[in-house]
Amino acid sequence: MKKKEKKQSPWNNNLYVLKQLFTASKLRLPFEMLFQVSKGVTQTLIYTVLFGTVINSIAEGREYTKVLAYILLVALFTAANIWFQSWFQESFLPRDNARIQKYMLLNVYAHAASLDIQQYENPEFYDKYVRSLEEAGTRAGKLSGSIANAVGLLTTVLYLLFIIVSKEPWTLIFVLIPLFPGWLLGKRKNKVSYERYIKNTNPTRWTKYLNQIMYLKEYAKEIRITGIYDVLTHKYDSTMDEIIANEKKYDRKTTVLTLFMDFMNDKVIYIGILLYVSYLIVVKKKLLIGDYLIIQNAVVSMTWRISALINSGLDLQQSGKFAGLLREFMETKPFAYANNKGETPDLEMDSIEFKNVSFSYDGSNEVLKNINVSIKKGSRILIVGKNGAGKSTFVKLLMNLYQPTAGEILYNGKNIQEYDVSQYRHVYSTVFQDFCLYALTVGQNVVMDNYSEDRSPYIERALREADLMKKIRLLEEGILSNVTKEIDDNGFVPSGGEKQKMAISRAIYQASKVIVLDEPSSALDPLSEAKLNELMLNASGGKTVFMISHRLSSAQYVDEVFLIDGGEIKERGSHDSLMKMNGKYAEMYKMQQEQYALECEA
Amino acid sequence: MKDVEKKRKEKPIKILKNSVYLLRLVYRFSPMLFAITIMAAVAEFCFTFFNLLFTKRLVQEITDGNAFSAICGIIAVWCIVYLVLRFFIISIDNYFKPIYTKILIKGLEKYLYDKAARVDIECYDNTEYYNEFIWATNNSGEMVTGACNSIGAFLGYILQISGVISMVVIIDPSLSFLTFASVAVSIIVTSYLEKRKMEYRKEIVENEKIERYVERVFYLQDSAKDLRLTKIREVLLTVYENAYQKIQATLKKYVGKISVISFLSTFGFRYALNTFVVYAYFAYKLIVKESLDLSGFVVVNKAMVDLYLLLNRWSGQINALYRNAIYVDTMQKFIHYEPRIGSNKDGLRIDGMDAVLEFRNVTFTYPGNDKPTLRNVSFKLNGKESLAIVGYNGAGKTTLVKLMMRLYDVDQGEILLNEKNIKEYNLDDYRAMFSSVFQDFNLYALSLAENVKMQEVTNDDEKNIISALKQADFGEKLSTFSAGVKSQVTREFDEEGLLLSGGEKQKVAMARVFAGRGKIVVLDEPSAALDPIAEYNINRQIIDSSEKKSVVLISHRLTATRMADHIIMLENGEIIESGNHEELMQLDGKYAFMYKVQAEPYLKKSV
Repeated sequence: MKKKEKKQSPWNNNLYVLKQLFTASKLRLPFEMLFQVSKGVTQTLIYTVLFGTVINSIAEGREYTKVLAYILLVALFTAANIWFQSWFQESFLPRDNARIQKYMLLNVYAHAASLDIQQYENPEFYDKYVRSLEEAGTRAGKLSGSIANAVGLLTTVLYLLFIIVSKEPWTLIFVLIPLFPGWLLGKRKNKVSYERYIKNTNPTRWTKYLNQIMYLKEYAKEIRITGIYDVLTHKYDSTMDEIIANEKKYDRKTTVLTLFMDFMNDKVIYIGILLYVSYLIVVKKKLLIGDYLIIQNAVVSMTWRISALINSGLDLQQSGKFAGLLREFMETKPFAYANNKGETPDLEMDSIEFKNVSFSYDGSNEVLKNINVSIKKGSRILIVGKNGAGKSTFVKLLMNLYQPTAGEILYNGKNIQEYDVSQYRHVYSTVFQDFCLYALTVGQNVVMDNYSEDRSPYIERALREADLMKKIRLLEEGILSNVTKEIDDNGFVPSGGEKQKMAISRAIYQASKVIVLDEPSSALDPLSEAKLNELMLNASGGKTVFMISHRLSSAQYVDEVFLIDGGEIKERGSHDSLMKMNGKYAEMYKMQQEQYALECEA
Repeated sequence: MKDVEKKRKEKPIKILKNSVYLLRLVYRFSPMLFAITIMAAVAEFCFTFFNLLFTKRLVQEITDGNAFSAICGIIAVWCIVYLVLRFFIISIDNYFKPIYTKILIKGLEKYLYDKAARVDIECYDNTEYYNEFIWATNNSGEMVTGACNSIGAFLGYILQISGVISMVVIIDPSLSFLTFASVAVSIIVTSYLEKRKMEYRKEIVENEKIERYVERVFYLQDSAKDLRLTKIREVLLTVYENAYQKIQATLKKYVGKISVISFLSTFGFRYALNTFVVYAYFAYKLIVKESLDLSGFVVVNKAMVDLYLLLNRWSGQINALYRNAIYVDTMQKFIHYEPRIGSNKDGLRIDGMDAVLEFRNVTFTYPGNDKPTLRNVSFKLNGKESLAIVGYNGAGKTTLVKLMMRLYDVDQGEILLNEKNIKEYNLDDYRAMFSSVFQDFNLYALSLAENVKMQEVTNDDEKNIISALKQADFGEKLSTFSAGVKSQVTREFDEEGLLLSGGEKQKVAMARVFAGRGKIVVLDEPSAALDPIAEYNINRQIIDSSEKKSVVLISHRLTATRMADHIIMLENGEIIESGNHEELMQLDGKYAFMYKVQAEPYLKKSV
């Protein structure tokens, strides 16, 4: 237990991000530290040392040329420093930030893709993922900034300390006295700010959600036609009131704390120094007026630097919290079965077998119970059942997107978990109910891989077979046209039916031996649907096909029907044998048929 | 070229105009924010000014060798002024500003939501218009508060800068040249840098859009499956890599120039001009000319540092104001958009009688299209009748019902309700006649009851909602929810929220129709994701409900449409066949063909 706590301390989390930073950009941290040191030292040199010295020289009546020479010397040193600072800030930093962002995001993407769909569907995990994505791009850069800032501050503070001690060590007391209370106050303030952040997280998410609905296109119709607008604005009102109430509650606290901090860090020291040094000059005649200015400047800039240094410590701690989110996400392991070193499966499917397979999301309610089936090469299977019966879960298990809670699934006689997971998934061509199109070219959307010239005849064939090529040919750039207007203003925006056809052409293109279709025809008109059935089932040429469909008319093309009900395969067999059995399938079929058959009799 | 010149001249006026417009908005929704923004600016000015004044006085007292007690007196006075001002500034920044800002956001966003809900649907179809005005408005709350801060800060800095400059000029008029040169250099340099940065931003922005798109794909749940099952990941990463390389190339092109200018301005302006020259000048004055004005030197030094920082921030605000002006333009256009389909509050009210709808020679073309989507469509729907609309994908079916609900207005012809053009009716009343479920319905992260009623729910509604859900074949599922119709839909905000499958979602959407009080039910492909039994049950329910209401149904499943009193078949925007099922079958035209294609598999087996 203790070990675990130690592991998740903010410092370890920062270290974790720092390691990534070093791999992404070795020079970032050293350069940024140099930058901050150079900034602090230059400013101190000019406004504290040079200024005081010039005034002292005046008071002591030195020669003007000597003073001028000294000013010029400092100016030269300053020029060199500013040269470096400008280069770092304007030239190095923007390019380096882009570099780091890319490195970090790619890492997160790669990791996200290695995790399981099931983890994605867990809202808690998903939330974590989204938050680490938000963090990933900038976190490493911010961390480097915080560390460099702290180093810069520390160096400058030491330099100032040296200046003060060499002039009048007692004045240090005024720096030291308010340190501890200032630190306590700062800590308390950060805590309050964090509490406010946490309290406002949920309401803020709500307002963002509502904001989206108000402006997104897909909600426009319902907002106009139904009364949902009133419900949403009502919700918005109460959410904003909650946020305002939180602000009132916490802001009162932070205001008081800030006031105290301001007084502690600024006024106590400032006044103390003023009084003490005035006393030394006026009453004791111990110091020159220039020394007074040096000490005053040094103490003031030292104090704000020390409080900034303390804040930077807190900042680093905060950074550690955010880094922790990222780290926790990056260290989330895919479920045990995500085998990345397993065997490569034979793309020629020979047999698939479910052995006592059960599955549940939460360990108690079983979505699928004790499934036992074996599927031979080339069989065409229709999976039917009510909404929510577990049909989609069945195919997700088959493709190793979910892991069975009990039992095993064999592909060509071997447990599918023994295969390399991504290789195994490439055995299948799929069209899901909720497929996505991408803002890439038509060709890439079909191939779902990089496009190359020699692939184009196959792409065109797939599009032709899916009955979409006619439309694509009309586009100016054919299969190289971009899909959606997301990135390309002239992009091709397919209609609902065309989208589905494009998804189907994906499955046709991938010459996989196993095809999985999850309600592919729901948005198609009757003729297109008939064509699809013909294409996918009838003309599948020895391929194994799994099809989920509510339209039982597809049954005539398949070899076997699975009826899933209550998580179990209740009935299976050919259409004819199931009809003879006169069970649930027959009932469903007749219900659909009845309506057509009526006509037949008429 | 002239245009550019003109634009440049108009720029300051435009910024001024838009800032006034913005302040009026702020004043309208959160007058206190307006007041405290100005107060904060004045307080900051006093603070800077008194600081300089105090330093001068103190150094003078010390160099004059006055009594220690006098020095203590000055320090005490300063201390009190300081505490008062800081108290004022800190309370505004930490307490009043955040609260009044939130109040502003609330008022403003609600005002804009109301506008968004009235903008014509056709504006949403026009991607350019949509992106430019509707979507751009989505962050308006933050933008406007940011802009309000910018204006406040801008005015505050002007006050402070003039305070600092007058202080320097009073101390040594010959230094006034230096201060004015500082202002000039600052304006020139920042506008030059801003222009360069704008240029490179413009070059980068397209590629950043691509990067963000890829980021979104990786983050959406919908694409998670594809990322695992296909090689689309590699394609997306290549796209990302290309965008990244282009960004780096652009940066490389610009950063050299920018860092040189930045060096020249920081070193030349901040240090050489404002510091080293000032030091050399005063050293000369005090040593060679033997002037005694040491306190002047101290204050000018401090003032010059302040001046540099203030000018830097001030010119930053000019750029912010300019950016805001562009944004305010967008928002102004959005706010002043007059919907073509106005709410017609004084229009005819709709009473309890039956609704007879008629399309007379209706032709409609989507804005930006050259071919009409609907051509010369005429039909009549009597009260308590059912109408089915069938046809291929893209025939114009959905457009027809959108026109019916007055989401768009017809180009030619007219739509009549009880013999009067629908434009004559009160819009809210007219739209309230319909209960509808579209193909692309949405569920909301609200309670199940609210998702069904689509209005505020009271306890009395519960019975009605449960029966509607049962009618939509959702009863069985409903009985498994411990919180019943109060259960939250989606897990967006509730860990225990309902996760519904495609078919279940569709049932919930269908329940809206059964719970609605509309006289006309409109269903656009309602059963696409339903299983046969659910489909059958729901179809029955809809037909039953048509005894009380009119029903308009779009479906590819011809068994669902065949019971309709009237069927119209659309092809390329025209009604090619119409009649009831028997009549159309007898006609043996396209409808009959389509029907047979669908029925064939069933008929074959039954023979």
